[in-house]
Amino acid sequence: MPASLNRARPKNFLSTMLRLFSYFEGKMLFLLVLVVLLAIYSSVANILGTYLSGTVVIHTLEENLGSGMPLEESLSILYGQALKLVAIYVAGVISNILYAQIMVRLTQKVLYRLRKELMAKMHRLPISYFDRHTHGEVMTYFTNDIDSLVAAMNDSFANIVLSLSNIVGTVVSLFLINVYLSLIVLFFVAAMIFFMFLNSHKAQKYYKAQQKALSEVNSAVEEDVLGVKVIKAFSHEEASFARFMKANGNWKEASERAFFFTQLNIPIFVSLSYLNFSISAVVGVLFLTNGMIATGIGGLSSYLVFVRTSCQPFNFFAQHLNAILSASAGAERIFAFLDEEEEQDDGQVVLEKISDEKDFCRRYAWRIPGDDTLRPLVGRIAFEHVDFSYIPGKPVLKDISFEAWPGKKVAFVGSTGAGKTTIISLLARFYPVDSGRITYDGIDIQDIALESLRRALSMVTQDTHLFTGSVKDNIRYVRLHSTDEEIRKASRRSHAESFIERLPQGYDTLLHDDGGNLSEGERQLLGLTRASLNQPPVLILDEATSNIDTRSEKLIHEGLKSLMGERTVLVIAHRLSTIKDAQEILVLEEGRIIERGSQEELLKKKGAYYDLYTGRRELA
Amino acid sequence: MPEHVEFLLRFLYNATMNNKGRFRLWDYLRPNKGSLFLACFAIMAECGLEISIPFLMNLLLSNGMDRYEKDGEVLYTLHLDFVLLIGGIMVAFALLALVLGIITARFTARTGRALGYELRKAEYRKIQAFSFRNIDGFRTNSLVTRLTNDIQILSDTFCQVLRPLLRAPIQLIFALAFAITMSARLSVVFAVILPVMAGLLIFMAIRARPRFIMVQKALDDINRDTQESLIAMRLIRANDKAGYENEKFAKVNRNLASASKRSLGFIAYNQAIMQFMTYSCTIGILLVGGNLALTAKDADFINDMASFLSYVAQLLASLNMVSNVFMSFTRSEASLSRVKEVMETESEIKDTGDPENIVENGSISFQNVSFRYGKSEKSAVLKDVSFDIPSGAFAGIIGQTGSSKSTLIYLLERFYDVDEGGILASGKDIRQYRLAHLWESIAIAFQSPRLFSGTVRDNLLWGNPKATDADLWDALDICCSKDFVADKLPFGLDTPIGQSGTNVSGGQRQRLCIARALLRKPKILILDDSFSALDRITEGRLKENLRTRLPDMTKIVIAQKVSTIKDADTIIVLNEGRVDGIGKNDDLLKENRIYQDIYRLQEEGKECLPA
Repeated sequence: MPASLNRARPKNFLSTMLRLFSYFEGKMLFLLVLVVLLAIYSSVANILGTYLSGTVVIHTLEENLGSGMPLEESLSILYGQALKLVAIYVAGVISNILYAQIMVRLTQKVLYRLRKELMAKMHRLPISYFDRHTHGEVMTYFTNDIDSLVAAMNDSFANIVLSLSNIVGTVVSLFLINVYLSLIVLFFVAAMIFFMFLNSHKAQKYYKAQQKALSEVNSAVEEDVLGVKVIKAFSHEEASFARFMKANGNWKEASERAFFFTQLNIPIFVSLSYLNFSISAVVGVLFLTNGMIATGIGGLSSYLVFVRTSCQPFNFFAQHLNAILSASAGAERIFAFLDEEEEQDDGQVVLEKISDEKDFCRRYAWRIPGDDTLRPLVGRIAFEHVDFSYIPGKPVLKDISFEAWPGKKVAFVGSTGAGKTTIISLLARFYPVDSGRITYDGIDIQDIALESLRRALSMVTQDTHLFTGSVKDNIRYVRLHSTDEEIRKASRRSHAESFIERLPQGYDTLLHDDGGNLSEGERQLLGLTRASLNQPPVLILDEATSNIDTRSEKLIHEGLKSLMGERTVLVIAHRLSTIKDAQEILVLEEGRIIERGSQEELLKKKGAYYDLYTGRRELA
Repeated sequence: MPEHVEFLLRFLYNATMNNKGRFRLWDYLRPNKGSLFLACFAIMAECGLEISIPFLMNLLLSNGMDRYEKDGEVLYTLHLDFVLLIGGIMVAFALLALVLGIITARFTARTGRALGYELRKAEYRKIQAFSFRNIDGFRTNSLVTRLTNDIQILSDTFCQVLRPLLRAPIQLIFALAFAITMSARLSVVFAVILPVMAGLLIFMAIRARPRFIMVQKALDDINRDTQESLIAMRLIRANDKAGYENEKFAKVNRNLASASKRSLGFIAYNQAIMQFMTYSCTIGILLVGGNLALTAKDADFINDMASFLSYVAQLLASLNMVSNVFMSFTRSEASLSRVKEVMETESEIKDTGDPENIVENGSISFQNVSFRYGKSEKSAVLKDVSFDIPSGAFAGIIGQTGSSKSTLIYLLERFYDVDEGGILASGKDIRQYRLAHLWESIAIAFQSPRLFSGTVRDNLLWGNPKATDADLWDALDICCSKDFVADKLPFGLDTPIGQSGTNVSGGQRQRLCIARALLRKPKILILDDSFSALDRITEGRLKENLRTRLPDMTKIVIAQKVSTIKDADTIIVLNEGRVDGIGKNDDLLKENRIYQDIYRLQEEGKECLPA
């Protein structure tokens, strides 16, 4: 993140905008060009219409009246001109409708794609990214940063085209009226553009600060709203409030500054346009009295009116510029997120479907590149001298080796913080190992495509997470094509059915807010039901029954036994009773395996496990 | 009255409105009314300058020189002093406009951002004061959007709208006045066009409103999906469900895109409508006026018409501004009503206890308590629950998953109010205490151990902000966490913990949460399944510490394992929301079937233990 911040120099404005434009591709690019043309026509229609109605029509009326043309004839000329005006105006209104509607659609198309890319990106970032960033920070990209683009693309793009063509149009017509006087206007136009660049440079910096401050507000809000029940119970309102208010105050300051600096364009434009007007007027009068204006006082007067209106598009422009600057800050943040380094996945070995069998292992096999034959999927796991640390120099796991195969249950025992969960995270490749290797069916997991590796594992994690949706859909999550009957069967196996049926709408009960009112135990039952529905040959249970009462746990155990029988099972549990049937128990201490063997062997050995079991020793 | 009209009116006349207890935007502007006044003044003064510029021009052209004819040629003599005077005034105007403009920018920014700041502050406070039932009702993801995005929209709208909002009417009135003085006859056209435009605007606003509400709702869903994905990231990765999540997100993403298309596309017609009105007005005047002039052979009338048209253009430009302001209001009105909804929700838990009432001891009494979560739910979660726990006792609550153990203690904490019966703490109904005092006296370690971003110290200080380091170490010591914090964590108490405490293990989280509760020095400590991730030894030592070092504190322990509560002074066995048995371990073993079952199963697990 700091690296990307350093890169974020204001000159990025151009490259950010170019990148944003690259989202308009194919037909969209054509439509965008159409929008520009239509917007230009719309402004031309306006200028032309004003000119026609003000000058031509009135002028002809005067002339015709003066020349004593018959009423019929002059009326028909009037109608003819009005008809021309109608044509121009109608086309103008239609082009306005067209470009506005096209732009709304194009904008939403681009934003849809950006959000889609953001979400896809989020799912490709390494797990460690989420250890370092708050949820609110990530959510800001999806909401506020995207939002900053809406205004800019929806209104401001077309309006900037429109005001630019207005500016060009008026400057050109000024030159047509009087070249020398128009040089004054040109000078001021140049001054305005110069100042705009100068100021925008600064404003952009502040906009970036604003978006960052906003992201901090969002972080605080997200965390506090999610934890509001804890906050209340601990009467921590004041301290949480103080922390939130700090973020809120920072936001106020940063966004006030950003708004102030971009608004500054307006008074400066206004003031410059007054100066422009006064100098033009005085010089105009001097010109006139020296006989340098052929059209006389009327000509000067209409010229000055033109000078006055020539500055209005600048005001308009300045207002829309704010939106563009704010959008560029938002887009820059979004692109920086999209450029974050992704989870490494250069594995080439993939699971290939070989049959329609129900059994997972017969359905899939490993395809190893450069190897003609497929390797059968078995579920053999091996750790070979694995070392790992989250922070370099602070080893968490040291020299971990073990093997597990179908039918074998390996249990990990150790005090909290001994590294049990880390072992499992490494197997799923949430983090890469420092040294040593982990194999699945003899293939280094580094060489297996992440998608295939994780498909071949079934994990029940410490915390069960539930999504908004029905209970049924939440269970189905791990195997989307499961039938209702399969789901029922799975929940009977995990003994979750009785509690599910007690819910107001049974399997169709809607869950909200990460499972809202369900207790931890009930959530774990759902987690286990997921596992029992899932079929991969390797089953990992990380404290999967810690909040379930012993009675239910025992029943679940019976239910899952048939399922575990033919699988490779890795289990972490505090209740030694639940792991007694493990073929191998690994006792971990400070990231090392200090003892291993079956429960019987370990108890006979009277070592660490025995001490632990009988309460004579605590694992440090 | 449609909400947005109300919004507009409030904006302007709120000072005179008296709607007690209702949400008023003005209340959040008032703290900065000085800035607001300055901004408004500067905007209007600047507008005044702008209006006077054409006068100056006319003055310059008519009095700055004399026109005379010589040899049939038109010539001018210059009044240099006068020209320079007017030129000087205009330069002064330019400088004045600069100053006024800077004041406008400065104070609009200040007021608008302060409005966002104050609103967000008040809404945050309101949510903090919500009862658990309120929170359940709103959904957290929606509350997050209401506090972030909705407020941002309101603040942005204010900032962007203030200037045009004040300028437009002034310009409108001036243009109208000039037009009428120019030609009262032609001005009749305004009597037609203005009501039509107003009608159209109101029609559009009414139709646009529900569309924008849909947008904010879709945004809630975006927030929900993102938040859920973030929380469940490991589950998603482990099950390789990124593809599925992306598909699921595509649905809400599409919804937002189409809701935005519908709403923004709809109000985009506004500009075209305004153009259409302007253009038809121009053409209408030309046709009718031209016809009249030609038939009446009135040359002066043609001249009037020309100037009249330029005023019409100005007038319609300011009307266009009004319509843009109106559309901005419509757009932000959806956000306003969502914020308002939060602000006008009253917590049904009334904090009306007497501050004099103090929880003196840790005795607890449940008297025929019944409770259901939603009024519409058929069966009660707790039915006729009665029991007593003396002060200082160690009480255990056990029962099957789903037997409402946690609900029981939520009621004791008054997170929800009972439907029937009553709960006494220290001899008084818990509704007679102030909530803050109740929560200080009854501390809880929740089932899901939630920590917050910050250091270990920050998290512990939640229990008691005034606690010294010695207090912290003491609490950690009781929770058997002293060694782990001192030796295992890289910076001891100052080790940062990620959001939701993801970088400490489940067992460590649970112990930190217990320490946090202990630091409150409560009369009653509730441990809701807080030992589930602890190993047996740690659990035993922790319990022993609580017993010996805090003998006067009532300890209520919800547990899954009999071993955790076997030695409790009272054990309450819950079954499907009813008390199934109360007593000590030995009594229950004799009398209670459920307890016997749980006990037997647990003992079986130990059968291979060598004697």
